[in-house]
Formats: sequence, structure tokens, C-alpha cells
Amino acid sequence: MLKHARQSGFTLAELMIALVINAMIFIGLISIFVANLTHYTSALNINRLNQQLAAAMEIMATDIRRAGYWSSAYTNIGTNQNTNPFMSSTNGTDIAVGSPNSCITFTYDHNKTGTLPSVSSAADDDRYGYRLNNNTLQTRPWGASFICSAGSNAWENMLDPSIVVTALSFTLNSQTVTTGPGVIGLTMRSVDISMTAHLASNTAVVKTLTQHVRISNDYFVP
Amino acid sequence: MIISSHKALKKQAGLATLMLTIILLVTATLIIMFAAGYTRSQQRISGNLFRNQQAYAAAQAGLEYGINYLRMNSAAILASPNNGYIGNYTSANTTNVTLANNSQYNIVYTNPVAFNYNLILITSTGTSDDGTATRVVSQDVQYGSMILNPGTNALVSLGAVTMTGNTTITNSQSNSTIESGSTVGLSGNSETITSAGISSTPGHIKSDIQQNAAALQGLSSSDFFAQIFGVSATTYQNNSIYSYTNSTSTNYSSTLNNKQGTTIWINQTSGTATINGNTVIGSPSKPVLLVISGNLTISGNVTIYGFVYATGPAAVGDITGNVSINGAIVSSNPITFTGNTFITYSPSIISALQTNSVVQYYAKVPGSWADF
Repeated sequence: MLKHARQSGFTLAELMIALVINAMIFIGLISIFVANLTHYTSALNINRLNQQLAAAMEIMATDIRRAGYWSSAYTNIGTNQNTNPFMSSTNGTDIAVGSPNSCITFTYDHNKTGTLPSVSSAADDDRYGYRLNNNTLQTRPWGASFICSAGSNAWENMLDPSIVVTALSFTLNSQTVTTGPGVIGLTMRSVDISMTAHLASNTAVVKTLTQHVRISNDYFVP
Repeated sequence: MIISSHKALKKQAGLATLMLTIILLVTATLIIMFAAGYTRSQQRISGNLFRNQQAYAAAQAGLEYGINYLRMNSAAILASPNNGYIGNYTSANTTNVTLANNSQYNIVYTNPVAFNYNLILITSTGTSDDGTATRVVSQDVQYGSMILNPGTNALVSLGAVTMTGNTTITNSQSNSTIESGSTVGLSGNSETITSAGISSTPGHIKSDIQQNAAALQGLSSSDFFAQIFGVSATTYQNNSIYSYTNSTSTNYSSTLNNKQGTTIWINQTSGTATINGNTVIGSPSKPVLLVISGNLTISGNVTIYGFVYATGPAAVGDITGNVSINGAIVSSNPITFTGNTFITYSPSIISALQTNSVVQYYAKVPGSWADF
């Protein structure tokens, strides 16, 4: 009976102390929870930014490396000529960095026909381009205008709107080695790409990627 | 019962803490699981990217190796063509080769144009270490010989040629023995011999000797080199089988004696490179390519089968004694012959040298590289 009587109730003071202790535990738990949430949210955002930029950079690097490929390149052997239709600066098919240098255009014989098809949206027309437009990365789809100043909607966005690209630059480097008397030589070329972007939701999450791409097909200077 | 429900009511404050804790923990666990799942998928994407690049690197490594392997083993690779196309070639060095990081490459040689065995398409397939990623790169290569343009003269010199003593320069194939960008002086009993017999003698220079040849006028030493070899001197030096560099006068007789079917580069930065005694370099079937950059003296009973090229800024060549050179000699400097020197032009020796795998190469055809 004595035992029962002792368990029958709490005094007000006891209840108040219990409530205060509970409140402190709540505050602690919630703040840990909020810190967790913030941490994972920023981790996810940083991940997304990294991933999207890395993927875009890989796509551009792989593509640019192919510039100037011509499936009939061997037909020029011994002719002392360079008739590669995918490296013609007069026809604007050779790799070129636009002005400003946030745009690059190039061609390669992707369908291995040996000829440069006319601009067409029906099939791969062998012309490629990347540029910075309205703070996003754009690529040229088949059939679109093959110039850096093509309209904003003519080229396609590569990244989702949560990524804001603030800077993109292409630098075309070239070095010509001559193999003998006269001007016969090879021009070896490379492109340095630099891209800076931040999250639309948080401008403090910034990432800059740079990549050096050696163009595998050298330019023959007859 | 009254007691127990009374007890439960009294403990409701504790229940609220427990419930909130459980809710927060469950939510936090869900968020962590979602984040972990997302991060895992990102890791997979990164892993795929890494393996893709690993496969690409392996394919590219295979391609570069394949070009050199073709140079060294072209006879075996091109051995049994079928209807104008080279046969399937497999070897431990080209088929499913495993690299140090466990990625692999596989090289396949084909010729895109029927019956043209000088143009070879090399296709290299790279596979990542776990076998999940595969990349293919291909490149056309064209056959060439580093002795691009040996000419048809026994002696070609950018500088002046001086022949004294019993020096005899012979080309029994045609009426051309010496081509010089400067003058050719004969004295003593020196003479040239062509297919028609004795031709030029001191005081009687005939048409077999071209002095002040227009083709050589104004050529720089490096252009002259490139005209003959088709590559720069540096490229050539890097590709030489034997390469010696000395800054003090050095006798190479014992070093070079009995070297056959190879390429030798001597870089004599100062002093004089000497070859003397009874040294024999090369043989009629296995001639050598001997390039000397710097001052050169060949004397004694030296016999050389092959192509001798003497070069170097302000260097002089001095060939004396009973020296016999079979093949051809080319100099970008003034060169002097004394004693009983015999220079004999031999197209068969030049040809044997040109087709030796040590001077053959396969050049990448610009514009033919593809990874799709």
C-alpha cells in the first residue's frame, strides 16, 4: 500500500522539471536533424553540379577530339594535297573557336561516307558545335545553323536549369612541324576547355573544370 | 486496472519524447537512405566514366603499340594475303594483351584497299579491368622508309669535295658519281668511273660530276637532311638503334666493328670521331646506316657497307688510307678524300638498307583517326 501511494502522482515541480528536460532534448534532436538535412541537401547539390559538369565536359572532349576525321583520308597519300572536306578553312568546316571564345564549331565524318553532307535535320549532318548562351551550355542539333551566332533557340541546352554556367572558354592551340624543305608539314592542334558554373539555388556552390584535348587528327599542310 | 491506466497517463510526457524521437529518426533514416542511394548512383556514373576512360586509354595504348609492332613484324603480318586482303594475324603481343592495371587491348590489322599492302588500318579495342567498358580506336598508317631519297650518286655533298691520291669514286649503274653544292677538285691519280669506264680525271671533269648543283644551292643542313631522310635529324636520332654521344675525340673502331643491319648515330659535339684499323661495318646483305654529326676521320683499312651520312655545323670529313665504302656517302660539309679510298655506289646495298625493318616506319595518315 505504501508503495502504491508513492506512485500515485507527481508534484508540479517534478512535472516542470520533466517538461524542461524534455524540451531540451527536443531542441537538441531537432537541431541535429536540421543540421543533417542541410548537410545532405548541400551534398546532393554539390554532387549534381559536379556530375553534370563532368558529364558535359566528357561529351565535349570526346567530340572535339574527333574533329577533322575523314574516312577517305588515305586518298590524299602521295598527292601532296589536303582535300579533307572536314578540315577546310575556306568552307568553314575546320575546327574554329568563335568570337567571343565561348563557342567552338567543327566537323567530322561521323557517318563515314567520305563526303560532307548538306545541312539537314533528317540525318546526322557531321557538323558539331558547343557554346555558352544565356548562362547555359548549348550544342548544335542536326539541321541547325552552323554558326556561333545562331539564335538562342536554334541550339539545344545540354544542362538542366538548376545549373547556371557563368563562364566557358575554348582555346585552340596549334603547332606546325615541317618535315622537310618547303612547307610540307603537320599542324598539331589541341583545345583547352574551361567551364565555370554554380547552382541556380545557391550561388556559393561554384565549380570550375578545365580540360586539355589533343585533337587526334593532325592538319596536313601541303 | 485503475492503477495501470493511471500509470500510463502519468507517463504521457515520456511517450511524446519517444514518438518525436522515433519520427525524427525515421525521417532522418529515410533522408540518409535517399542521399545514400543518390550518391551511390553518382558513384556508379563516376565508376562508369572511369572505366570508359580506362578502356579508351588501353585502346589508345594498343594503337600506338600496334604501329610500332607492325614496323618490326610487317613480314609476318603481311605474309599470307587472301584475295588482296591480309590474313587474320594473332600473336601474344597483339591479341587480348593485359596491361599492368588489368585493362586489355586487342589489335587487328586490315588493309582497306585491296592489294595495297602499304596502307594498313589498325583497329585497337580496349577493355576496362572489369570487362564492362569497351572502346575502339582505329587509324590508317602508311608504309615508308626513313631513307626516303638516297639519290643515284656515289657521293652527294653540300660542301666542297676534294679528291687526291688514288681516290676512286665508282657508279657502274649510270653516268652520275658526284653531286656537290660547291666545287669538286680532283688531283693526283684520283678518278671517277661510270658505266662507260673511267670518266673524270684531274683537269678533266666530265658530266658525271655535277658541281654547284642547283638542287643543293641554298639548302640548309637540316633541310638537306630532311630531303634525304624525310624526317628531322632529331626524330632520326631518337629512332636510331645505336646512339653515341661524346664531346672529346673518340675512336669508334671497336665499338662499330661487325655491326650489321642496323642504324648508328654518332653525335660528336666537339673533337673528332675516328674509325680506323681493319674495322668492317655492315655486310652486302646486311648494310648499315651510319650517321656522324661532327668532325669525322676514317682511315686505315676500314670497309663500310651501307649509307654514310656526315653532318654537323662547321664539321669536316676526312677520309684517308685504304677506306672502302660500298653503298653511298652523303655529306652536308666539305669532305676530303686522300690515299686509296674507294667509294662504290651500290643500288642493291641501298635497297637492302631501305627495306630493313630498322629504317622502315609506318606513318599515321592525318585525318584517319576515329573512335567510333
